Amino acid sequence: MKSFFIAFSLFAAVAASAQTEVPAPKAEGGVYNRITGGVLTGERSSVSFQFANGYRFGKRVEAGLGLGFESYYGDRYVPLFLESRYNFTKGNTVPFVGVTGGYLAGLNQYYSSTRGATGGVNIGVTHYFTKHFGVTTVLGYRYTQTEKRQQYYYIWGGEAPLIIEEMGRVELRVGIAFR
Amino acid sequence: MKQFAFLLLVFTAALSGCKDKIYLKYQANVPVYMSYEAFRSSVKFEAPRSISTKGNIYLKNDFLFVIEPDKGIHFIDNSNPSAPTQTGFLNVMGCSNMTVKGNHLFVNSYIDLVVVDISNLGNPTEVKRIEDIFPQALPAIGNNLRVVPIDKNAGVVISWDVRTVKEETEAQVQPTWVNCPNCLSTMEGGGSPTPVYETNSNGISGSITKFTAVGDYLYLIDGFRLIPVNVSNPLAPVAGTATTITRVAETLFPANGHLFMGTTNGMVIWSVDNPEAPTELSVVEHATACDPVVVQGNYAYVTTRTGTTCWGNINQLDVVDISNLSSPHIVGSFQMTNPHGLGIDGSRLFICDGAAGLKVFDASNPLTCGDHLQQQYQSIQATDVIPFNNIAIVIGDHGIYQYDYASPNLPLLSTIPFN
Repeated sequence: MKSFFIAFSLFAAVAASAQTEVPAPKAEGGVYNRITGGVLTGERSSVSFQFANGYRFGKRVEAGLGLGFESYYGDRYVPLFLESRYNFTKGNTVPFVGVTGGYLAGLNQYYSSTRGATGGVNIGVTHYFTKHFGVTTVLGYRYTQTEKRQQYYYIWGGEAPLIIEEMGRVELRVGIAFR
Repeated sequence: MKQFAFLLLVFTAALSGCKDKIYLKYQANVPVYMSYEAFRSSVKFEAPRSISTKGNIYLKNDFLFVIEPDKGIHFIDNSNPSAPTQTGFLNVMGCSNMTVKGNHLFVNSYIDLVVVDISNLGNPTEVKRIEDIFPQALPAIGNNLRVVPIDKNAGVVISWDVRTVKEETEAQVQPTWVNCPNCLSTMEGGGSPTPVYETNSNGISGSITKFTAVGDYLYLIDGFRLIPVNVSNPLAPVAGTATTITRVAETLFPANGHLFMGTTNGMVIWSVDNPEAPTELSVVEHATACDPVVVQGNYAYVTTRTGTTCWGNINQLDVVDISNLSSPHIVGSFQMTNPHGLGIDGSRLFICDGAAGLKVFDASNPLTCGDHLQQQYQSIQATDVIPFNNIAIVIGDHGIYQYDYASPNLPLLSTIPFN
């Protein structure tokens, strides 16, 4: 599975770079939004969906915030994150590097105090087919720490143990971008 | 752009081997260690101090020994029971049980058995110890939090700290050890080994003990092990091979050349014909409960009770006919409130009956003794008793009380209150 997504990511990036340049007007600044989905793969794999809105400052720098859905070890979270990207080119095929970080709000009812934090770096390519629409692929590394406290079946003294999970994940995602 | 694709490949390869870490963060009992050297040089005789906690009691001639659990032994000159005098305190870390043979006192000190010369009661001195005879002995744990693994190489565990710990591995409820090949994974809670009501010339113990002496041997209960120790030469005691006890053993009582063991589900009679290898001779089963036992003549008296560490729902006195040691059987049962220790001297049977206080029964006829209450002291929460030479020495939650049972109304002679 992991190999598939690696190959897919590479293919997407190379394919995008190999396409004939579509004459798209160059955006000088303004809002953007992106909807992406993919996998977080490492010792375990899980799905990730994100919806982000932000602002592009000039031609190179983007910053925004978003929310989404992710799962780790079967526990569900809503990531609330900030992101920023630096675009290397100004054309319609835009390689970039980015950073992201935020809070994970737990959805699981089986545990209490389910929450976490996540942050990472990524690289990728966005290819715009028109002035406002494009496809983006992202490959990144994400460090996530979650914590949760089991509420049931703990018969020993004191509060039930806090379970802390520290995970490194390779992040592979594709999606659409509007600007 | 090819460079960018190459970067992607390197990036992916570098990060694809991520390994998750899962920690548990919780409150646990964390052992506090003392170095072996410091621990083994800690037995010292000190000035008398007030008694704060009840423990096992032992009477040797005119001296009464009272164990302050985990701390040491109070020496009390009891030549005048109306005015007992504390003469000193023997500092013995981790002690819970003791017995005396001749001029030597044997007491556990966490993992060790310490031999103390008491020929001069004004200056008792350690003369020998068997190291690590109780490898799993630990201080009592006053909660039901988990226990982090114990490293024997770090020293002797002398207390516990309750701390929040973060570990990749889950700590256990029962203590576990590392660097201790002789340690099992579990032992009974509360740690150290337990009175004996000896009828030989060495002295007299209360009924709640795990140490006793028969002939040249000591017998020590350590969890699920019964350890014989040859003390024919008290200066060179030799621990024998431990025998496995298949029940939760609580008390030992020597009588008729045998050991009477109180366990949570029955009284077990052990033969010590071969003192190095005691063998289980017979058993009288009862419902699960705590049960000290004392013996006089052809009868054993067993109290069974429920409580914090005792299961079941039974509070009674059982009288067991032991005229045939291979086939003991209950000949009488009598309802009690919450009986703990007991003692018998002649026709007087003393039972420490929890909140009902100290009860004295006429045991002239063992079969009906429980029906003949002679006296009851409800004002004390009695735990154990030594009746000897017309003086009943009773230890309870708040002090040590002495009664003269030569007099019909058992007058109180003295009280040593706990602080």
